[in-house]
Amino acid sequence: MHNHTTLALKALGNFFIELLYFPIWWYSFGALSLIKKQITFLHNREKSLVILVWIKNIFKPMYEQHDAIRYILSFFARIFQIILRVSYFIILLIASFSIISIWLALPILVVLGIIYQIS
Amino acid sequence: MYSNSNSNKNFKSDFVICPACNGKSNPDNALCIECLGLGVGIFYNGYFLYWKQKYNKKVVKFNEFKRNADKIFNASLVLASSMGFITLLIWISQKLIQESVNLDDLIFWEEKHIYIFLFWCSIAFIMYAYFRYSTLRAFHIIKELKQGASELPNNWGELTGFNEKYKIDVASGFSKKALQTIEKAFSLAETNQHPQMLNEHLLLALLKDKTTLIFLKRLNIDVKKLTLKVENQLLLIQRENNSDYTVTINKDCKKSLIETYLRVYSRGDKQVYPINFLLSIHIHDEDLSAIFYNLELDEEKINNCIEWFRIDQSIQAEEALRKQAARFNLGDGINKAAICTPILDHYSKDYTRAAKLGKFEYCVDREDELKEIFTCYADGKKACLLVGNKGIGKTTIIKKITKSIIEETTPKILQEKRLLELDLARLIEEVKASEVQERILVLFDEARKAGNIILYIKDIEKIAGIETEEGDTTSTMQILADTIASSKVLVIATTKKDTFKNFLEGKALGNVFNIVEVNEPKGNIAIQILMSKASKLELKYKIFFTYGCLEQIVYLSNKYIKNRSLPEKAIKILNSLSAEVLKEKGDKSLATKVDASQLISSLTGIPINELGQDESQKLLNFEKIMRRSIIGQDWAIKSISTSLRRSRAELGSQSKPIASFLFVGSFGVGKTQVANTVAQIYFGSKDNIIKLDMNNYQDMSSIDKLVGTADGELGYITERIKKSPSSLILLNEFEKAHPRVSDLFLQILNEGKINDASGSICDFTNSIIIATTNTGSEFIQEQVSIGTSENIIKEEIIELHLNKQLKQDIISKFSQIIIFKPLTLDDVVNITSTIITQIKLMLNKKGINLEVSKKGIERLAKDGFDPIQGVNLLRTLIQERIENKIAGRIIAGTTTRGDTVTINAQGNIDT
Repeated sequence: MHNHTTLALKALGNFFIELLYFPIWWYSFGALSLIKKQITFLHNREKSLVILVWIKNIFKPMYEQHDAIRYILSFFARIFQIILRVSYFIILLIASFSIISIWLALPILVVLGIIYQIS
Repeated sequence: MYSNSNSNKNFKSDFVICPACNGKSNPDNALCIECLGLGVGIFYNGYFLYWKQKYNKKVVKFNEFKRNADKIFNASLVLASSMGFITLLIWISQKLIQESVNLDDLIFWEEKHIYIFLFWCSIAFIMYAYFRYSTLRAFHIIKELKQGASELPNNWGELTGFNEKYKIDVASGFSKKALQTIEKAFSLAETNQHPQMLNEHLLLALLKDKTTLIFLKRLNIDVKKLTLKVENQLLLIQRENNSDYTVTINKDCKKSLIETYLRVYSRGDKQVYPINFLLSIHIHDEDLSAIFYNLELDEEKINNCIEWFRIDQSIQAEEALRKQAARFNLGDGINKAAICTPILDHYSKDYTRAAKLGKFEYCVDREDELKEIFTCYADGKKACLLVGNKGIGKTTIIKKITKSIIEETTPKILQEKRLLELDLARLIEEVKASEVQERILVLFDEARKAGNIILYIKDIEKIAGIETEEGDTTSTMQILADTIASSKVLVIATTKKDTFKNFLEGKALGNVFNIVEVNEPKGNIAIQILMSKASKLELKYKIFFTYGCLEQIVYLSNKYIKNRSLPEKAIKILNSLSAEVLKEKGDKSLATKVDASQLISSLTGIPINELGQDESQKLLNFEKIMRRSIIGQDWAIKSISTSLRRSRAELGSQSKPIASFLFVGSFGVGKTQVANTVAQIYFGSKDNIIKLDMNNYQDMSSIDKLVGTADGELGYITERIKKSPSSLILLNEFEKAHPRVSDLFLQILNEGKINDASGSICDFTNSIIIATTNTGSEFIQEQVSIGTSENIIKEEIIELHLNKQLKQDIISKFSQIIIFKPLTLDDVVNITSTIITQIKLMLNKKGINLEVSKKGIERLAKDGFDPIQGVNLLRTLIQERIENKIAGRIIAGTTTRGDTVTINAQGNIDT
């Protein structure tokens, strides 16, 4: 019996240590890992949107036909594409920032929510 | 079966053991003062790796308790996490059923309610659950062992003071399951009152692990048998009677744990799993080593099988990535970002897009070829030509390049490029050569303008071979060569080896390319390629492949199917085998080595089963079986039997025919009969004989009859051997063949293969070659009559007779020269008796009895024997005197069922 109590106490001790480490992890390693994931996500999305390549070729006629009208048409087509892609990327960027913000705010919100409920 | 090029280093001899505690670390429950508990370890890249964790009853019990408590806690967390959302939903629905509900009423955080309180608690639980999951996942990762201490300690004193950051407790890289297995092994030692935890305990604990059991099933290992053997081994250990002792980990077991860590690290993996213990558990234990040896469980098999698990994991990871990529795919952004390429899009397949969508299968190895191709482009070259036989995976390499471009692991010049495969069928479809040439120019021009295109031309010879209206193929080749040379477009193309040699090497088109030779993946790499295909087939056909099955497919297809390349031929067999096993054995069955052998045997017609009881018996009794039908040729029978037994046991050369014999002896002594019997016993049928009478191959043009002509006429021997590679080739009166024909057979004897007129390889390594000659038959007769031994006759006949008729080269290439003795009258009497017995058996089936006296047989033998013609006349004689007459009587109806026919003393049928 004594043995079991010791085991339970030891496990409980470990649990409390883990519990104390939880908020520290949340704002350090946890937050860092989430930020890294978001950066990778945005990087991959940029790779498929190739916004930089579109910008780099902004003055290049799309069908390599070098008359004035084609130049203008191409330029506006590219502008349109760039705006579309940049807008989409901005939405993703906002979403990523929101996720990070929610991560950072969540413990505070939960604590405040619980305090409010029990007060 | 194969040399393992990837095998990890064996660290067995590199360990250091504390002399004071002999690696026990804490002898008699006290820390060793010499090593301070380090016990056993190994130096690696300036680090000292050792096993730190000391187990005792309490630790093991606590860990077990904690694991159970964790399980309950995790389950409660999941429940609690979901509870809050349910309560929130209830709260919302309660609000919604109220009569006058507006949006403000649903702002739950402003209201005080037990349900809302529970919801906030649930959020906290979810956060906590995620924290536990993340920290558990990050738990115990193998550390990068680069640039350790520059100066290593010289003795244990210095080692104990060695910088802590260079001392690695290998348990830090063990997964939870791996640590749990060690604890189970410890408990096992303790329950059995063994003083030390040994590798045997570890293995027994390992046999409870699910993945290990699948692993052993793959290796077709009988787990019960293995368990019993290990348990028997443990019975030999003396039990500890003192109840107050603590089990220590044996030094060899520690070595295994440390070595496992190093081997897993060398493979580039991040964590040690229980299955990895199999990599080294037997190395440091002689008894286990013997058990593994008996179960044919060698290091190479274990390494490869673990690789199988890794390949499966990689495929799953790629699949997950594929799904993710497909979800966010935004089409051909990179295409239109630069310049639009409508013509190219029409005449090509977009590899980059396909790779992005994860349509390409997992690719094993090929690092060497990839490196060569990347170096070629990084050095500023624009065109690479992959040269290799059909089916060796040239396209797979291109697919891997495309994947590398997406993963951004290529040299800068290839980054952000689109790889397009020219659709040759569309390009050359129903148009004249001049139009094709024009299209090529337009395509290259478009690719140049786009600036981000890599053009892949599969089987470039198809373009090169397009004839113009004047029947000229060179102009298309020249135009393509000039275009590649002058444009700035990166090109990668493939072609077959023989096509390259015949049509491209030294020509303008061949010269513009940087040649990358693609070799056939053999051995372990080929096995691993099959592994990467096996899992899908297992799912599709609901069967299970053993490792032995895949190994056998690669080994046998490499050995017996010579006109195709690995891995393609092995993959095709694997596909057929899946369907075959499902058909024959039903689902959930095991595809084994035997199944693979049987399938390949039926595909090739070669008897390649593992030597079964019947077959071994047949081979052992080869001489006996031969003697039943061959009379008077004991020398020949003995030599042939020995030679064939050696070959079937695979002790002979793998790149030559199974065996080759030169039969020397006069007419009618049984040379053809022996050849027939060999074909019957070895290949299972007399039909597997290709007979060539060299009388018909005496002039220069004879060679064309054998190997075919450039005009498309097929060669007799080349076509026959392609159709039935396992045949006996009988070359009668070999000395009469034209020297060029002899040279052809010299090549067959030497290399086991020849090329036919079209250049394709004809393989003779599964055939037996028998050449016969009458040269020196009189000499043999003389020598036998005076009692000269076989060896002396053989030596003299080569020197005095054969050397004059045949080239010395070819004589020496036969695996055996067999001397056929002239037959004596007694031999002929025995042969006559055998022939008559055969006729008797035939007549018995028709209900007719045949009686013959001894004198009758002797008379027939005497009349039919001719010292020059041998027994050839005898057969004709028996046919005329006996068989024809009986046949006439049966047809006339004078002899019917129940009658008896008698051969009289004059060797005739009684009227």
